[in-house]
Amino acid sequence: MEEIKRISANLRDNEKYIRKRCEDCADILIRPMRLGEERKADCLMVYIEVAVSNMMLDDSALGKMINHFWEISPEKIPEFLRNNSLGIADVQQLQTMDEVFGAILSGNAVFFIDGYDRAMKISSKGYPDMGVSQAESEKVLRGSREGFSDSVKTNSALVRKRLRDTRMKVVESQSGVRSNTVVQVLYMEDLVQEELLEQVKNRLKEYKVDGILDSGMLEQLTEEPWYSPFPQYQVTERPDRAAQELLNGKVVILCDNSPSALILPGAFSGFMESSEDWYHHFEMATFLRVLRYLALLTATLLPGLYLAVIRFHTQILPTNLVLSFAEARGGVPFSSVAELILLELAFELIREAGVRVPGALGNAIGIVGGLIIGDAAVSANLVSPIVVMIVALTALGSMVIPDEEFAAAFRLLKYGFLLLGGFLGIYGIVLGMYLTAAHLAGLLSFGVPYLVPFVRKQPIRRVGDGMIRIPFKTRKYRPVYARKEQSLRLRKTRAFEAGSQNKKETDR
Amino acid sequence: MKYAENNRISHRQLYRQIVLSFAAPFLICIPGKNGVQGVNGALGIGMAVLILLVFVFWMLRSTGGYTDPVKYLGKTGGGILGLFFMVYLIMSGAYLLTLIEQIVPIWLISGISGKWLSFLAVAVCAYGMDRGMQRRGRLADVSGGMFLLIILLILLLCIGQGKTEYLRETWNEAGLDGTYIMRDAYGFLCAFSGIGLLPFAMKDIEKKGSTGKPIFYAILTVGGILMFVLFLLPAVLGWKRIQKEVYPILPLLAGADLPGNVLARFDVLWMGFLLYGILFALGSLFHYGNQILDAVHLGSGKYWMPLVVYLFFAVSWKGMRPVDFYGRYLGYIFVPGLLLIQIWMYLRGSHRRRKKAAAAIGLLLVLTMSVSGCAGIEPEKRMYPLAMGIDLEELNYVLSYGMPNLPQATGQGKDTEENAEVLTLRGNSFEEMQALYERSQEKYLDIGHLQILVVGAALLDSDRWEEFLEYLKKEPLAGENIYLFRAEKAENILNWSNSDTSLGEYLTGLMENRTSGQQKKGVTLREVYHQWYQYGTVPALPEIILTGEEIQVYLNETEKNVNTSGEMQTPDRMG
Repeated sequence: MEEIKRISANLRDNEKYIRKRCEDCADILIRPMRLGEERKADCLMVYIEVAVSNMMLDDSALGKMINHFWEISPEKIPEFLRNNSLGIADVQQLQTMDEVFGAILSGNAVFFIDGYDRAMKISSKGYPDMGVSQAESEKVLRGSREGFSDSVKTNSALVRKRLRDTRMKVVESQSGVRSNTVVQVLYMEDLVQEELLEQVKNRLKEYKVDGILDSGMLEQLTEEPWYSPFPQYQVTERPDRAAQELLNGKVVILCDNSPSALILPGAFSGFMESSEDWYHHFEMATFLRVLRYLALLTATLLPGLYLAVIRFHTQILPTNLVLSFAEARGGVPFSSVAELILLELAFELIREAGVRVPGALGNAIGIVGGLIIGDAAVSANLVSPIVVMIVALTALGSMVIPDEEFAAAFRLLKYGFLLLGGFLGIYGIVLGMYLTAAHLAGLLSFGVPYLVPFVRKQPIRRVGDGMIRIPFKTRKYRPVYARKEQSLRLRKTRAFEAGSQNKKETDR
Repeated sequence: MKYAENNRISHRQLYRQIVLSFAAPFLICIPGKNGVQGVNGALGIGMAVLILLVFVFWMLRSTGGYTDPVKYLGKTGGGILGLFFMVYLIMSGAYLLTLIEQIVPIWLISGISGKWLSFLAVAVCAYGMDRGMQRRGRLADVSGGMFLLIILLILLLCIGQGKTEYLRETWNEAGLDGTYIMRDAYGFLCAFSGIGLLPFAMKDIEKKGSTGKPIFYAILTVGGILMFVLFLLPAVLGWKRIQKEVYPILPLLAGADLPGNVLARFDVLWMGFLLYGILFALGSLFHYGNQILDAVHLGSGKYWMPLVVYLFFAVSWKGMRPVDFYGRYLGYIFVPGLLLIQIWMYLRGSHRRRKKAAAAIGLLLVLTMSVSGCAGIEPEKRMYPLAMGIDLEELNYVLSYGMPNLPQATGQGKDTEENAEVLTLRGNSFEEMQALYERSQEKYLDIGHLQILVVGAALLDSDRWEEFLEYLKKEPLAGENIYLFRAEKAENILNWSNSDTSLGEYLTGLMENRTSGQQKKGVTLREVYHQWYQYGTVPALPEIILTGEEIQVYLNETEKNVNTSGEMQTPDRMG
């Protein structure tokens, strides 16, 4: 077992130890200073340069503290620190060097004084980050534009801003042996199922890894089964979405340096919802949801069905259409399977290029890919026009799915269906659908079936809505994720009930 | 998690499992040649449903022994019980694979071995067979409702194709016969004997006290659908035809149109749904097999059971396969045996429980896809005859295919002087002509878009027209809504050329492009089949007469006699 190095009362010993550990760490500043009356008290301040850049400014809390130390006798300084007489926020006493380094590397300043075997962690503004910006991947027409940032503290504050209730708990821990990444687990104390919370905490402790650089790494370490392409966590960049899910009884995990929050348990229907679904009227929201499900089918099945039909079952198409297909494919040197795979891969290249290149160039890539490559490929008889249309419709379908990771799973499945349809016709498509349905039916996200609410044992009002969004006023109950005794979420206020009662009596 | 607090399936999931497992195999296998038919069959099924309801009620009272048969009956007794059910499951699995082998290569995709297609089905259905009842319940829950809805919707759509005179024939010819009713009732009981596996699942079903309800409803649903189909099939296809067709449910939609002409045919989709049901049934057999093996402490069957099922299906000795005895096995061994076991269990009575195993299975489906070869044929490498002529010349058949001119038909080509092509084959038999086609033509003959069929008078007046119909029956791609015509010489009609349209489109337009009151009543292939099966004759076909450059169609002799003196000027000539 590793020996715990305690802080010594001798400042020189502490300084020596710190200097040794921080050798060749130019960004960590070790500043000895003399404070107190007649500058008799030896002190030491250790911090990361950029993270605590303004500490010497007079108007900062730290500056004020140091100024104050010049005026008091050295013997009183430890007592002053112990009692935090200046009322500086978040001052914490540290006893071991591990705690000291933990605090420094988290972006705080640590203050030592000779003759005192404790150090003081003085919170500072921490590492630089981008600040709150717009959610890029979940754009909405209606609703907040705020998105999560890279700082876990900012992110939890953004959620707290929406749920100003102490029943929303934020439990902090560190993950990654070398990265010491701050991970926060957010939940509503009275809504979350205890079993779920326990599972989440256990899974976070299950692995030791050298570094967690993004919530995606955390997600992959904790999901089961690992081989499924379907995401078991919902990922969001929107604090309002995270707050909404907390109110449903779900758990949110925030990870430092990641602008994405993980929401669990994840369910199929959740991935098909957009946060603005709840801001629109239910008719429009329902229409959009149905459209998304159709888009999902298009994105997954269309290329496979196209191949199945033109290679095996031409009889199901109207004669003129199949003759058009035949005419259009005349002169194309590849088989229709190869043709479709080539074009799909070409589209994947365009898509990937569009993501990687800077914003303004992204549009140009779209034009180059869509117009020039597509048109040129048809003109050169490399592909038939109908295949360009199939690939375009498939791509549009996958873009309509609100969750990128979920859409990616279906993008992968599309290739499976493409091969099955191309080589086994409708039989292959049926085999593929059975296999997909069987896989999804077996998938659980933290004990909740992935296919909820399409499979359910409780009434629909308890399970939550799927393809059809129920009107807001009838959304009286929380979904199954929340505790049963807390399932009621919407009711008329007593004052209103009393008021309407009086009105009835007056009417009479 | 509280959602799955009891790890059991709901009644809804149980109901959907039963419907999904039994409906498709029953729809395919029960009606038809040597199967359950007509009024007798419907009454037999009704009787069987009543017996089944009583049996289930009784069975549910003695399920305790199935929870842990070894504890209940001892190691040997438990083992024998497990073996008894395992044989049933293996035989049933092999039977379902035989169905896939017989249906898919003929009706859906040709050119791929049925054995290989069945192997793929085994691989897919064995995935996750040991993953517990909840998973099966969820799979049924998510797909069972849609399956049932679509099956019912399609069957209801088919009502429009039915004819009351066909139904009357059925009533007149089938009659009521007690022997048939009893035979059909027992046949249906044998088919539904899979319900005897339910006691093994009882521990995984919630609200045990009222489990009977979903089972009753499921039996009534499946029985109701089948009884409906027994009336629908003769109403659409004719009584004699369903006695000769092995799987009459498959061509049921070969002549149906969807409103809006979005799809020309949707029988392929219909078969797709039925296949999904078969796959689910196969998956259920694997799942229950594993459950039973676990219950009788014989380990897991997740690897060997699919293999044994496949071997039972594939192995043959002197042309005989184990599945050939499936019917007799059900009737003489399994059903009586099940009854005896049930009596024995009922007399002993006990309740025990056991735990489930859990693990995963990988699939080689996509990786092994290349083994299936490339049986699909690109659309441009097919020939799409829209019209077909068949005639007799001396002792030889003359088969003519009228192909459309592609640039003209699709509007994609430039102005050309090309006319539609006609391919003529002559031979003593259809096999000979088929061989001739294979030797001389590069393109695949796709008769899925055939619109009209012109039969020469010489063939119709000879006694060889039946050979032609036999040949057509072997071509399931041909829709049954094709119009048939009679002509003095079929080849001459096929060679008729019109620069605007092909013969197939021209004649179909002639029959259909009229307001409903004026629409001509043509004779479709389905009607020809009906009369052929029913009376052994061919109905009077509308006659095509070629007068100069014009084609005229007379629906019957009377019309022909009245209209022969008329004359017409086409717009071209007027111009």
